[in-house]
Amino acid sequence: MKKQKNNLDEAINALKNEAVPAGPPQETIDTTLQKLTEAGSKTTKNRIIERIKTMKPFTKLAAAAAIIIIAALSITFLDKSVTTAYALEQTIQASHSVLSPHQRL
Amino acid sequence: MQMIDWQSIINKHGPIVWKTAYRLLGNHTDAADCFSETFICALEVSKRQRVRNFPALLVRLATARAIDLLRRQLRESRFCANKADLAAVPSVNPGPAQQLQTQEFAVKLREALAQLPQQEAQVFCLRYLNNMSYRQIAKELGIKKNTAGVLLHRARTKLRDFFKVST
Repeated sequence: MKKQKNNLDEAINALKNEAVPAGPPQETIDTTLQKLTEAGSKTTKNRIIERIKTMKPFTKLAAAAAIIIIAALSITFLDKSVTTAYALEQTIQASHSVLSPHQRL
Repeated sequence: MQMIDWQSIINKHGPIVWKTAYRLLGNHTDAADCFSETFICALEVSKRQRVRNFPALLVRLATARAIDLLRRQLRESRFCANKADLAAVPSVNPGPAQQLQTQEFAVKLREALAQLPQQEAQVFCLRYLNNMSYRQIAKELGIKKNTAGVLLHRARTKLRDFFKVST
């Protein structure tokens, strides 16, 4: 157990003490600054479009499927509501033509 | 929105971001990608909220991006010791055998970190590679101090198991 713990600690030390260049190359800094300028000038609309463009094809397909399902469901429900409204209107009209109500006891 | 002079931010905090990225990724190409992504993310964050502590935010973002890259490499099976620019950096180790062992440990730890859950790996790196306190980690990740401790403990346990299996 102690050896395994030592291995982990040694690995941490190895990674921590690994020689690392002091700073990024100038080329990387320039590229980053350029990207920051581009990103800063982008509008929200552009960012949304770019985000959609970078989506995986599967994600796009899933999003399209979700939109179609939502549209289909909403049409179904809207149709139902129209039918119900029609039925209600008919019922009201029918109730006007009622002359005498009968009740069975 | 804050008005930020990114040139001065990069000049001031660029080296710590670079070190964080390079230490975790071990090569120039990935570190450069991670470096750019970190600052782009920082820009997005600064648009949403006021940034009070830039170095902590940048270190956190660099760690997260680097872990993401490690995980992607692991998924794509691109993870190998050869990818590291071992010759590019002058080593401080005395003997070749010890140097090799150190490199091996570093590569193994990178591989293990890529297999940990994102938050656990992040807490582990911030604690052990960036020497951040529990309090700082909790503040940066928006979690409780105790949660940071629990995540760190879980990460250590999993890493210990990983080294147990791989040795």
